[in-house]
Amino acid sequence: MAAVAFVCAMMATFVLATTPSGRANNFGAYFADNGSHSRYYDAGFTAGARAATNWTIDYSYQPTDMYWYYTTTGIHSSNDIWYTVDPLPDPLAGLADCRALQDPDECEHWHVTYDEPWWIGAGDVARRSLACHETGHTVGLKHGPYGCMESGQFWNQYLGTHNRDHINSRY
Amino acid sequence: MPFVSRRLPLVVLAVVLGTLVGLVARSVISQPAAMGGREPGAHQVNAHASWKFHFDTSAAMLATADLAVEGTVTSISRGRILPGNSEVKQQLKEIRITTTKVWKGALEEESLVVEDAGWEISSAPGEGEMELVIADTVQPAPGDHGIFFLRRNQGTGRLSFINNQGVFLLRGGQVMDTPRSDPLVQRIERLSEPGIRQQLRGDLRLVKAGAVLPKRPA
Repeated sequence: MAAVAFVCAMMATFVLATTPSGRANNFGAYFADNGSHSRYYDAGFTAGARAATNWTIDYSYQPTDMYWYYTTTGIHSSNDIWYTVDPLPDPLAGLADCRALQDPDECEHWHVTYDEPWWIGAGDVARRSLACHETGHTVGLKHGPYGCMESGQFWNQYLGTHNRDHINSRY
Repeated sequence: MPFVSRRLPLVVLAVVLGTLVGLVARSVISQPAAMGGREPGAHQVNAHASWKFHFDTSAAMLATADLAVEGTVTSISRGRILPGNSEVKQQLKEIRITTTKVWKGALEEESLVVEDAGWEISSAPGEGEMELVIADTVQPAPGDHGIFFLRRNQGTGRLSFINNQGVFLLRGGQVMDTPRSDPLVQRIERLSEPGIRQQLRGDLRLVKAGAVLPKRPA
């Protein structure tokens, strides 16, 4: 009887521990290292790319509790995000990669790249949506059915309240 | 009640052990399913990506694919380096697949090469070369057998996977379970090998009948 109780308790706990949380959570890939987020635009970052990125920062990320600012000093180790427009492997439209993982879950320096051929053919809404999506990855947001973090959509250019609440809970 | 109080330490011990074993198992399960395509010892950079296509159904994916094949990965090697404007350049991975069945499209040879994201080569101080590991993808390794949905680049004519959804590895009579979070992928990965083939046959009928149209890139 004791053995049965032991095995049952162990199995139940095993199942609970291996099952992802039922609470909707698309947060927690790699967080930013702190609540102050600097960005630098590469020399080849076009005027259109700057406009779309500034738009997403102004309308989606500035309203969060994080502090966002632009810097003209391009030093990889000190910029939180380095934005570029470059050709990416097919079929990528955008990429956010952590180039300096500080802790197991904190990234100190991100590269965000918009695929050049895709970018040239995209409209304003799609561009802003991509900028919002990739920037979201730099603060720890993962893909999910919320705002601009929904995978494969290029029509929602806003972060949305769900993602904003996650950011505000962390930073 | 006396039984519960006597057994309580045992149950607590079981809960603690169960949690530990569960957490270890969860961390193992969440590792990428196929690591063999990666170079051992290479520095890796963790990335998140946006894909030009996203599908809610396998029929839409089949309709949009230029080529859908079943086959075995025979080799993975370094490919061309994309031209770039910044300090970071992309070097592609070439995945050679020997096909056993062509589900959609035409193929002149039995073997084909798929280009995929591979390495980032940075000339920035202290960065160098890193292998790109994109979240929510599966990286086929030599020896892997699977079903691959492919798209041909309009400019170069080269093939790539249609997106992160379009790779299904077959192992032990089942579609292999990978850590991808996409709902369509998870639905398909619950199928058996005969199940996914049956699904494809049904999808193909819909595509040929014009009931499902190709998606255009965003």
